[in-house]
Amino acid sequence: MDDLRMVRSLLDKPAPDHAVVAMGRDRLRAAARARGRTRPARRTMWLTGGLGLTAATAAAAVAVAISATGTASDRTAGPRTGGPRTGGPTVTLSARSILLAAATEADGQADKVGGYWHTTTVDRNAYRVTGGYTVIDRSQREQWTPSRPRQEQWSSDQRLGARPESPADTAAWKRAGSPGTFTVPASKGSGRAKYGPMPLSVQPGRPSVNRAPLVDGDKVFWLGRNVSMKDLRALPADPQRLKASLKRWYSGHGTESSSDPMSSDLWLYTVAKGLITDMPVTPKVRGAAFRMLADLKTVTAAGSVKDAQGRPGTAIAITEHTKFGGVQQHRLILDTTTGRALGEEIIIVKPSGTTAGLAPGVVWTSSTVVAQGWTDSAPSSTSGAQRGH
Amino acid sequence: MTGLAGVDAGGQMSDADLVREYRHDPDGFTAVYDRYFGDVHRYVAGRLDTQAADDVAAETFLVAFRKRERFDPARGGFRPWLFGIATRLVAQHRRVESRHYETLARARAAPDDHGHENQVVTAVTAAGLQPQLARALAALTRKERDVLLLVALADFSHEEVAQALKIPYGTVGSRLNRARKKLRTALEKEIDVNG
Repeated sequence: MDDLRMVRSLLDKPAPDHAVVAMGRDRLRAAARARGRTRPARRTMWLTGGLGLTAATAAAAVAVAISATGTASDRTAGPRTGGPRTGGPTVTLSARSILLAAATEADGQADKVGGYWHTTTVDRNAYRVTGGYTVIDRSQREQWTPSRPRQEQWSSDQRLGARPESPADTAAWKRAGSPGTFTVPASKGSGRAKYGPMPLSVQPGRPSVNRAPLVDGDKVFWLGRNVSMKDLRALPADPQRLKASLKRWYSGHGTESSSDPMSSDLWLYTVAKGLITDMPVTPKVRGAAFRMLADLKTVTAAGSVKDAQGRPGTAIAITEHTKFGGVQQHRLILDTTTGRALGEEIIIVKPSGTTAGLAPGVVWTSSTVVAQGWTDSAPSSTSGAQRGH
Repeated sequence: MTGLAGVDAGGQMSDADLVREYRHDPDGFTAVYDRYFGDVHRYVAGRLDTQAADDVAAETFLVAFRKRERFDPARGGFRPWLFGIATRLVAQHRRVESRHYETLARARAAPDDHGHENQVVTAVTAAGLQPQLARALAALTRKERDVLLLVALADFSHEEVAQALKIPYGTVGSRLNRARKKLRTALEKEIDVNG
């Protein structure tokens, strides 16, 4: 018998079944649509996303629908507005499709390490203030992390000011005489800690620049444990091995405190989120992290959303039943066209304890990546940096 | 889908037509998918097994979509281009591929309860030589296997293999010959022992 035919009969497989064909097509469509949606300003949007939170984007954040359980509510992907050429059926994207699409994009990216990993993020936190309305306090953090050991890590922090959250909050704020400062009342002690009253201002603050030597001379990020740049760059690019390497540091509790039980999936999500969003891992490792999340059953799709900067993205989510803050949904917002994360947020599903008073659906806290990449140098030491300790 | 639906019903559009279509509307790339996904999946499933192929075949088209601007129908068809991408993705799953051959080798490695006569008969079929063939495949170099399997599983001509793997035409023939010689040696050794 002909050896080629023997090989063929040995390896021959039936045609893929319909579900497989359909899923692959969905993944492709997701990529095609995301691409079509953002193509004109794709690169520039990433580098120069504006910082301002307009009333419109603040309102958009509230309008985001909640899918507490996810699976039943995996929503459609493309905000394609029925033009003559877009008459196709609506595509429902699973979290898996979204993550695998992002992974494929990440895999294809170039990666050239420079002197410093530079990131600019804008964080937003919602507070219920005295007077009975909600404000969003914003701050910007810029960070330069050296690629070599025994260098200094630089950061610059600036408060951008607080604003009423929704139109209703704006109305309540105006009724109160449009005060320039807010007070977050002291915590009644429903949570672990008691907090004193906290003042907030509508005015931006001045940047505070800091520099400090790396922990142990080389540790740059936290990934279940402190890791050096070398550790980060050496992470496995295979999803299974990456998962195993991360899970070695999981001992059944949360990332911040050892007294906080946390499910293994949520723990992996939290660690992977940091890795994907903040850290200079190789593009293939970022891809592996997306694939690892794609295999977690509790991670669901949250559909097309806008991040707190107003940029369009696709979100995946995982729900946490917290001990002191009610039910919360963690979201990772992805730009599937670049295989990068735009940011993350936590949405209040059921307010309670530390989140009491906030409306369900509110983005309680968010962190958006405004710029990210390698640079050759840190900011000059003449910029008045304070030496950290 | 879009305006191409009527034209494409019988798969009549040329590669160049498909290219024009998706250049006009990225969604049109799904027509490329619909035409070639089954073939690509079958090829990848042959090398990696079905489950891995579900992902890798889908990824092939995502990669192709991302690189679609670089595809030039004047330099070869979609088939070599797509199978070239698929082959490079398969190369990233080397351990999955060798596990697959190992599984095939073990599937019939245990002596079955057919009589001796029966065994002699099946020894000349692919099924009877499954362990040897699977091991011989695993023992090929990746480059040899790429050429051999594009020919054996996807019926590629030498020219198509050259386009897919971006190697000279002459290299296709020499790699294929080397690969087939190794397979035949492995099989003949087995037939000698059994015969």
